Amino acid sequence: MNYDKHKVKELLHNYYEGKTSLSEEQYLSDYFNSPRDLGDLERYRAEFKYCADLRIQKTNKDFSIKNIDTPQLKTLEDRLSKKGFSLLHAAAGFILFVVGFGVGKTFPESNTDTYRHEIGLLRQETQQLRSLMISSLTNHPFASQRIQGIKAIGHHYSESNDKILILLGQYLNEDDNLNVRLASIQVLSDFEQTVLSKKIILNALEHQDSPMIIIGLLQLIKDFAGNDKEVDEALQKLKNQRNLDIEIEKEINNMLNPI
Amino acid sequence: MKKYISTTIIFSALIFMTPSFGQNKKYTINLSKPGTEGILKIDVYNASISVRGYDGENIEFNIIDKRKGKDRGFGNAEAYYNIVEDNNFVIINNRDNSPHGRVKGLSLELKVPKNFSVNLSTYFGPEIQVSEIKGEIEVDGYFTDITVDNAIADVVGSTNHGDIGVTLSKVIESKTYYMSSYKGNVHISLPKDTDATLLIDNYFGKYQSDFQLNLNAKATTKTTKFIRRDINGGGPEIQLINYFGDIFIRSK
Repeated sequence: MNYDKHKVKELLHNYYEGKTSLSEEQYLSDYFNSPRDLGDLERYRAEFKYCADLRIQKTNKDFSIKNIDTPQLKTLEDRLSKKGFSLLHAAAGFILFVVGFGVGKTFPESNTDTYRHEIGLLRQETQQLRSLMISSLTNHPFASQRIQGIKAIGHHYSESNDKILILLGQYLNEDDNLNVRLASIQVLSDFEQTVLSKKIILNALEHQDSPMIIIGLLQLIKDFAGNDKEVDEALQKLKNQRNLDIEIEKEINNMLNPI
Repeated sequence: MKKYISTTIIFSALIFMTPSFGQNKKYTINLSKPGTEGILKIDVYNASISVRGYDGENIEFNIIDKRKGKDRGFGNAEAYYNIVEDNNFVIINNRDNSPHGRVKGLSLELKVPKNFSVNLSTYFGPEIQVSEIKGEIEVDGYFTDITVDNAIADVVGSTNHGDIGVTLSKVIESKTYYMSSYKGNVHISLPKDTDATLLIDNYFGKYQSDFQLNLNAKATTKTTKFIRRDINGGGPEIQLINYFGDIFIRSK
């Protein structure tokens, strides 16, 4: 089939405006999935290939069924297949934590190197299993479990360390569930501010599109980061670069120009 | 060939469609393990979603088409959605990045086995309703009012410009209850004899309660962001967050 490149470009424009018909989308899909040199349009090939892959087999003229190996399902499956394993780890972690705590409490006080060494090892193991328990929860497919994992960080660690802060930062920027991100903000607010936590908060401010998260971060900055040049620059950047919710704009103005 | 066969088997074994009359179309999504627990994940751009737990063994799927004007010109509503069932995991989402996701006036109504968990998400969809579900409930909207009735497991819900209302049949220690709205109100209804600890975080709104709320004895310098209050001596935590709306805690 011969394709008119001008028409393709026009349809592409309409496609991203949401104005194309089903037949026009099929035209685009066929064009980008054909083995041809696409020149400056090559960058669109991957997207239309992905869309075509979703329609492996038409069930009839109405429905289409996705390939069972779609990345979304795969991710869900992967996460779910870990569920039993994760819960087992969580349970083992919890039991060993309790046992370790009990053993540590009841162990006779001894100055011998052997006892000290064993207690040290036990504590180390308990610490590792506690981390594993948290890790298994924070990787769970359901937001409820990830929230529990993040809250567990707040409960178990009285002081932050770099690993924890980076983990919280990851959830703050990457989790697709808004409440998981809110939970990360709340746990971040529990820890004392460090240079790294401040960087994570300011960095997150740039990456969020949810007004609820942005305003949560602004409150966090107000609570403990205070205003300095770095904060003011981040706020100014946010104010200039985005089509902001009016309440957020007010909040930024209040922070930049305190009475 | 193998791929073709497996896809064919999956299709023929799992989805049977029996369109009805009028603007509503009803389908049955047959499950690999009928009547047992599973997960329903719906992620659509612009449709109301209603999911109700029932005593049946498979999923009943009903598309209510109330499109008007220009939106009617975008073809059959059924063509907007992918449906995948695999080992009792069911995913329904918009077919691709086509404009169909932006069409208004569609509602997806589903009946699922009661022991299913649900993960429901829409951006422009005006409403998400969930009722009689025994599994986990995760609901996200943007311009969306969310209603969850008679939940007993975890409930995690958020919306930006809508209200969120949750009725819990009971509150269980190991479960997560976490509700948030940016500009809407948050309503939660609890049985009278509930023991729970509320963690309330509402910056510019107010909160009201039918219960007597007592200062939580365990309140420490940590979790300073939350107002911690106990109902009947305290218990499992329920987190309620909003910024420009109000929070209502009701006794039922």
